[in-house]
Amino acid sequence: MIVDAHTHLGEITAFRSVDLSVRAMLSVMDHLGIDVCIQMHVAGLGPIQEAYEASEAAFQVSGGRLPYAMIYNPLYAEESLAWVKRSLDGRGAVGIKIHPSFNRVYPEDPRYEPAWQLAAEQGVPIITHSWAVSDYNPVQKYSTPEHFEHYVARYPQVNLILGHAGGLYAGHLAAVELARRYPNVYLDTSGDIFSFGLIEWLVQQVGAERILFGSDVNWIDQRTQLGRILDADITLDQKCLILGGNACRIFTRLPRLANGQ
Amino acid sequence: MENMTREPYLTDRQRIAAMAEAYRQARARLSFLDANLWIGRPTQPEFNTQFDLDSLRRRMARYNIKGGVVSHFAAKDYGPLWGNRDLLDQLRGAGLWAGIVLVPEMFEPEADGRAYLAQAIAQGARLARVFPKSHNFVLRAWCCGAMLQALADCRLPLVVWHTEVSWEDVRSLCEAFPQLKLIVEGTGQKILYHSRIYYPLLERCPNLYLELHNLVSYLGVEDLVRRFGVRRLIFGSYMPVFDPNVSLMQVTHARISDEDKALIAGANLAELVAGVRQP
Repeated sequence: MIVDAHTHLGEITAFRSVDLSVRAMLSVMDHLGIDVCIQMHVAGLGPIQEAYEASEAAFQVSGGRLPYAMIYNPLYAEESLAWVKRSLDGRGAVGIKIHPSFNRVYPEDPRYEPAWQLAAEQGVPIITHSWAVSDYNPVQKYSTPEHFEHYVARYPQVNLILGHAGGLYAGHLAAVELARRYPNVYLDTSGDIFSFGLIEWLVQQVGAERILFGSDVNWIDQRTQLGRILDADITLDQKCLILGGNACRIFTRLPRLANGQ
Repeated sequence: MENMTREPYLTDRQRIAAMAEAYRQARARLSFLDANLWIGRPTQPEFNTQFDLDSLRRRMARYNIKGGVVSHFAAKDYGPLWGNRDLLDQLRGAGLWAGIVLVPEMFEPEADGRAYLAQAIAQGARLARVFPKSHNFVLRAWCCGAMLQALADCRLPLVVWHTEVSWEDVRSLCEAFPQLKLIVEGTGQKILYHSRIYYPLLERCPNLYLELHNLVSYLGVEDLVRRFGVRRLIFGSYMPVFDPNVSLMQVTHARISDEDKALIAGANLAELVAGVRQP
């Protein structure tokens, strides 16, 4: 299967969007040859029940092509954890998402402990936003890769996917450093991380086995990441791992589609 | 290129190999002309370490980019006079156009900016770039009117990064100089965050264009073409800082007609460049 491991559904407040429907996402996936998108509904940062219901609906309507990871919100830990648990009782949920920058809670904060415990119990990965601090985006101090070491070290049985592979150049360096030290750390390519040579550098630094194709749809167009992986100066086997092989291994609950391998 | 292959009898390995080959073929079928190529050392090099013209030309061939406009980081970060001169010298006989960097005082009477433009155009300059924020000026007639009027008179398109100018200045410029073609690039921060501004500006200003390298919004190319026509999008990659595949696949796999793809890939830029004349 070809898997986009970092996508979203839901409304966007920050800018004008075009078509946020499940139908549109499936149509684009068909056009590009992508079998499965793991989506993290952005309502999970606000109205949590809406995120759960919309995610379940999308999973059903898509025939299993849109499995999801519910967002765990440490600021509403009890309510959030209940919905995450409920999601993992069903067939559609394949992981847990956290977003320290949005919540402004550092990744080592004890309020994240229930999510890590649950991930360990259920055998699912945690996907997190990761980035680096810039002049115009200081809030990203909450998501720099080194902050994740606390729980990564304590829960070696839980795989952590650093979304956006650290975001900016300094974050890429820190993300690779963490991944080299901990075998349960993975990196995804999602977001506007477009540096020349980045894919090849990541493969060289941590191996293709640790990298997942992600796009950040429905914010960023899938074509921006798919083309650079298909055309990267790496082997075909490495491309296969990044474009789906790794996701199928790490997301142990990922449904197997009828025409997937 | 509809529905990249999902035939069930293929293994994932075969599918991915076929998808990669189909992408390369689609890229080769279009005559890409790139408005946003660079030589010289960027202030913040990342994973790429080669910034010379020979490396750029090898990479253009590698990514099926047949030509385009090259600018020089030294003209932005060190000095426009030295950077432009080195750029024009290096591009002599290279079959590539130049994107020169301008500052307002070049167009004060004693500096004879029009003569400078005339010579640069004769040597292959086909775009001008300004960096109002970095170079500490305002892109308004009261601050750099002589420069803007000279650009309008010789139909030399002007490129500005959205991180270097206010959108209100973009509107003012487009309306004050309707003959001037203004291309906005998303360098420094993805431009999709500004879509609630550039949509009404594209509606209002027919001389406003958007370049593609960081115009990465989900379904954005199709929607912009549908709303404003295909002529308003210019292909650019920002290579060698950015991976050119980011913008290349937005064109090869856009759900628009082949004719529209060809316009975005290169014909729109070629048309703008063809209009350049001596001041």
